[in-house]
Amino acid sequence: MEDISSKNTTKDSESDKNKEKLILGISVIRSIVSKVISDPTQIISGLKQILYFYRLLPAEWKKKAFWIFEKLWDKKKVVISTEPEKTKRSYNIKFDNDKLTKSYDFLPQIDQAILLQGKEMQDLINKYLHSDSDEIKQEVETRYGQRGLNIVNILTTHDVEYLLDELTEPFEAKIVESIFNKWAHDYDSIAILISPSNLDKPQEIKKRILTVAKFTSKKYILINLSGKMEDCTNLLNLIYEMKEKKEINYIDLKPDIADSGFCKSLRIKINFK
Amino acid sequence: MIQMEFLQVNPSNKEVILELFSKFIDKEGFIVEKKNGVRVVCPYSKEEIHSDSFSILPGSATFVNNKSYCFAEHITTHKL
Repeated sequence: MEDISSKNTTKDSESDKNKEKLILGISVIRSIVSKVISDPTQIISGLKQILYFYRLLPAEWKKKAFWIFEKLWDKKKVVISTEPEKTKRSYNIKFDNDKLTKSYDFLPQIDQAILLQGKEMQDLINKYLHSDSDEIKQEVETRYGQRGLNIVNILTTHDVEYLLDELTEPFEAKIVESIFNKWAHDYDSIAILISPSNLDKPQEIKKRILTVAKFTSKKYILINLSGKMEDCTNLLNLIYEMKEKKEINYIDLKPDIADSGFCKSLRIKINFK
Repeated sequence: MIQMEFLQVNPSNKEVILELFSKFIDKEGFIVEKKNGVRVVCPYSKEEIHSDSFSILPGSATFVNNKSYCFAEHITTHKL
C-alpha cells in the first residue's frame, strides 16, 4: 500500500511539474504578445517564440497559442519565407526619382508590378548581381511579353528620364497613363539594346540602327550598350563612321558612359531634325 | 510603404508554420490544405507550391512561389 501511495505521489509531482512548464510556456507567449502590442518592432521575436513553444504545448494550449499567433499575423507586418532576402528585395523597393514615384501612383496595378520588377533588376545590377537581374528579365518576358520587356528596359537603361520629360506636373491620371502606354508600346521601335557579343557583326548593328531611325515616333533614337569600356568606344566609332559614310544623317549625338555593376553602360541619344 | 519584417522558414519551424496556417506537406514535398487535401496553388504563377521554396505574404495569408513577379503583383494588388 505504501509503495503505491509513494508512486502516486511521484506521478502527481511529475504531472504538476509538466503543468508548470506548460503554464510557463503560455505565460511567456502572453507576455510577448503584450510586449509586441506596445512595441511592434518585437513582432518577429514574438512569432519566433510562439513557433518554438507551439510544439511543446498540448492541444488545448495550442488553440490559445494559435489565437495569439493569429493576432500577430493579422497586423500584416510580417512576410514568412524560405528565401527572406528575396522577398525583402521586392518589399523594400524605392524609386530614386521623385517624378517617377509620383507618376507610379497613376498607373494600373499590373504596370506598377512590372515597374517594381524593373527597379529590382536595377538594384541587383548595382550590386553586381547581373545573373539574378537577367533571371527576372526572362520571367518578365515570359509573363508580360514585349510590353513588359519594354517597361523593364526603360527603367534599367535609365531611358525613363525621356519618358518623364514628357510629363508635366501637376499630373493627371489619363495623361500619365497615356504617355506611359505609348512608351511601353513603342520603346523597342525608339530604342535598341546592343549586346557586346553583337559588336563583331557591325553590319547587323547598322541595320538595326537604320531600322529604328526609320520607324521612331520621336525626333530621336536611343542606343544602349552594357559592356567593357572598349565595347563602348567601338560602338561609338561605328556610329561616327556611319555619319561619315553618310549612311545616317543626324543633327547631333549625345553619348553618356556610366558604371553599371561590373560593366560600363553606354547610352546614346541620336537627334534628328 | 509599410515597414515589413521577414521571418525565415527553416527545417525546424517549417511544419509548425504550416500547421498554424492549416497546411501540411505531402509525400512529394508540396504544400496541401488540411481541410480538403488539395495542393495549394500560387494565385499569381498558378503553379503548385513546393515546401522547399515558398513565401506567405500578408494580406490574407497568401501562399506564393518565390518569384519576383508573385511578390510584385501581390504588393501592388494589396497596395502595400
